[in-house]
Amino acid sequence: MLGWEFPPFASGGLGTHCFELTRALSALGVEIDFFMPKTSYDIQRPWLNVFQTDWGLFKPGEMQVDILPITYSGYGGASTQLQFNARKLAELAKSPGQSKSYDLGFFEAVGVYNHLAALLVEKKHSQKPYDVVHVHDWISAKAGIQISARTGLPLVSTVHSTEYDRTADLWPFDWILGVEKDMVCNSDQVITVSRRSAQLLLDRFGASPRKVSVIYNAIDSSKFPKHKEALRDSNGKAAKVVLYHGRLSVQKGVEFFLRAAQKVLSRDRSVKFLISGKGDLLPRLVEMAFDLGISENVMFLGYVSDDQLKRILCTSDVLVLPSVSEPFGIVALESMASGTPTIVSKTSGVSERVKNCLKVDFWDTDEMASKILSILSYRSLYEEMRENSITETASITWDEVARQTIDVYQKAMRSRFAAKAAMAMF
Amino acid sequence: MIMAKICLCFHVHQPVRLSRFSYFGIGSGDGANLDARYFDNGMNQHYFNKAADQCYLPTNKILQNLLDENRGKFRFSLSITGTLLEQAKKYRPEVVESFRNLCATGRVDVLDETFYHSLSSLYSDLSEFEAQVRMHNHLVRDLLGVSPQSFRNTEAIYSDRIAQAVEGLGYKAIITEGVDRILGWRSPNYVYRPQGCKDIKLLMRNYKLSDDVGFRFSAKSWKEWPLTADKYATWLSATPGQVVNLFMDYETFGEHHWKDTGILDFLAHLPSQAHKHDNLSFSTITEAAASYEPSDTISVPSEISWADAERNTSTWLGNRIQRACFSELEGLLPKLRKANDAQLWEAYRRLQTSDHLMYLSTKGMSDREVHNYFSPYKDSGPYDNFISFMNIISDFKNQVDSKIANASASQPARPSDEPAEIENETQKMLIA
Repeated sequence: MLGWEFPPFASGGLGTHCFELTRALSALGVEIDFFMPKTSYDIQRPWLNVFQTDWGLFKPGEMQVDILPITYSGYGGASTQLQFNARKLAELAKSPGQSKSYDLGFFEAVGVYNHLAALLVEKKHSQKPYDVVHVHDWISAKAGIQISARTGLPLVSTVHSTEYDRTADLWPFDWILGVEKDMVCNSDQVITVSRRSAQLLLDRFGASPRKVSVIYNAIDSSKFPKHKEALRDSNGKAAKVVLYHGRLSVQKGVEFFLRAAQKVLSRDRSVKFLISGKGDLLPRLVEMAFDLGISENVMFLGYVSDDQLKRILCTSDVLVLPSVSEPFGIVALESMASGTPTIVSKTSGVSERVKNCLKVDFWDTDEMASKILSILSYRSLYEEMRENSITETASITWDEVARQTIDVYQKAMRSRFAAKAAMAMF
Repeated sequence: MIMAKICLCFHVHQPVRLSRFSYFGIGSGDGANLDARYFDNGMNQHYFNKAADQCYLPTNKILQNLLDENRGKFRFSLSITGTLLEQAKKYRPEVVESFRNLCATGRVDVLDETFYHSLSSLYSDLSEFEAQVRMHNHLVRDLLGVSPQSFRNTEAIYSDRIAQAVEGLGYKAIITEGVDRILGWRSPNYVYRPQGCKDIKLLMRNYKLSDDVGFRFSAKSWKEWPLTADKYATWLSATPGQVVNLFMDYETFGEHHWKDTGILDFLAHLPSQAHKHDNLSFSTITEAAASYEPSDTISVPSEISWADAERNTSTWLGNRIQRACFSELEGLLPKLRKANDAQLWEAYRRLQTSDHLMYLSTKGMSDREVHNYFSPYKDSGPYDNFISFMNIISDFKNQVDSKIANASASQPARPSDEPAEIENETQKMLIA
């Protein structure tokens, strides 16, 4: 399996996903070598071998300079800053055997990681053969494609999000779209985290429906405390709290959250709105809260760690996921697991998976505000949603995700086998 | 072999469905027209027309033919809610006419119930229940020209307390579900006496034979599929007992099972096939109850119904959000009496229709599917339905409060809380 991050080195949901998935797969008897870029953390876990891919893992002479990822710059429309400094990389490759910094700029680092990972997997495969290569998102796609092409191993890729989602389809990066399309075309099986995400692959990348499977994310509910504690203002008065948690970007629809907040406050001036997370939209959101006249009731918390989120959820009465475009939206499961009544946009993948939440159109801020006010006003609704959220998320397990993933591995292996058999006939 | 009487009883009902009501709607506008404010009459008309064309009119026609052809040998009972008759009058008067024609044969028994298909039988004060039953009695006499003698409560909800109240209103028979845990070793195919009653008789639904038609008729996975009238009559003939009570949703015919499943032909052939068996005859509920002395006394201390696997009131009162709406509505009763306004009374009673609470059910998958099937709000779940319903109740409370405030501002308070309207109704609608 090839990824980009793994706890404790994790900046988003991808790391958590790989952690939980590999653990559950291992419990079902799957042996996993996990490849990721070199970090300064000790990441080894008992249920898998983690390889922090690095120049230092190669002996002198093992590295072929001619297969360096120079072709990565070949996508039309890519800006020149993406052109890899082929000479620089070639220089680095001449002296393997020692660790080197990835300090190359983000896209170059991705290129180097993919290249090294591909070489390392091939080397290991020649010693002890693998059955399947599994990659996550575009960031490890190139390596997967290369390994599969050179070894004949079946390729499974998981699309957690696409460039269309991450940019709310406003200014997608052609180069990344190209890598994503390549990944989908070259995979034997593709896993998406929702039906809407699968549909996007069919519509935008021309994926064949036969090789796309939907496997929803899951949650380890036991990690989330279920009790509630009141958030008190300086006078000791308990406040009602509505939470947003996630990146502050256009895709996430935080502006709609603020507009709904204004409408809620027009009825109940005592409600507090928490916005946790960071992102490039922060200055605009702060300004917007001020312009809407609600900045007194809106608090920006900045970056919040996983542990801090658990505590914030305990003090929250409602969580809103107002995403414009959301392949899944795992924060909704986290919120529900903590017993916090949850409102999600209909354009989120998680809305397909769960029943015990409220669903709104992200643009319908009247409805969003009406639902927030209803949860805050009607105790019976709050209690009923709280209890049923906890019950429902307890049954959304990674074990189930692992079982479905194994089914996909087997499908991928069968399709390779069938293709080989067909080739042998000629 | 004893002669078994087949008691067919069809439940005909449509709720007056609610509008979607935002939290921001609470207390807005002047509330002059509560009908337009709370009820989605476009949706109501749509559903009524659909049911009229697929079920009521074609099935009434078949039943009319059967009544005409069989010359007194075919008889059945109808339980039609007030909310249905009211909408029929408004949207499709020919539906009222066709029911009236069925009744005019003298071989159709109409059962009384609460006008609004409400859960008022569960209130601690039963006077609202009694008022709604009298309203229904009045409407049936007025529109259908017959005077009901027997009773079925909303969704066959039943207990000793309810049976005693219904006996107090003068009815001769009451029907409910033949719940296994109540019957024990006893068969539903006999006439019983409710615990604590002296005269009224109790008939119990044979759910197995009723559901063979109501639920399973078109299920191709069922080993008895396809069910023919011939085969079904053989089963009826082989059923031991005095009465076989077959109670089902009227919409079984043409709506739950579409015309192309053969359900209408099944009904059209049932009497002639039944008459091939010497031990079978048709009877109305009232006639069957009069024909037999009670075999035993049945005690039902806590409510049963014919709904879901539990056969209790959990379909409507199974979770917090349902119970919250129910107790809000029950709690409003004294205020309604105080405000004593015809428009408020009507809206209040329509809000009590049990369907509104069923749409808030959060029960497990199998029942949830049944509830979703009946819910007109396809795109929304129980929580959305609750929000809209509770917003309406909150707004309605405001309307009642402002009516009371206006009334006390303009005139001195009346000495009694007892509303004139109820007293008049009571006098007007006493059962013969």
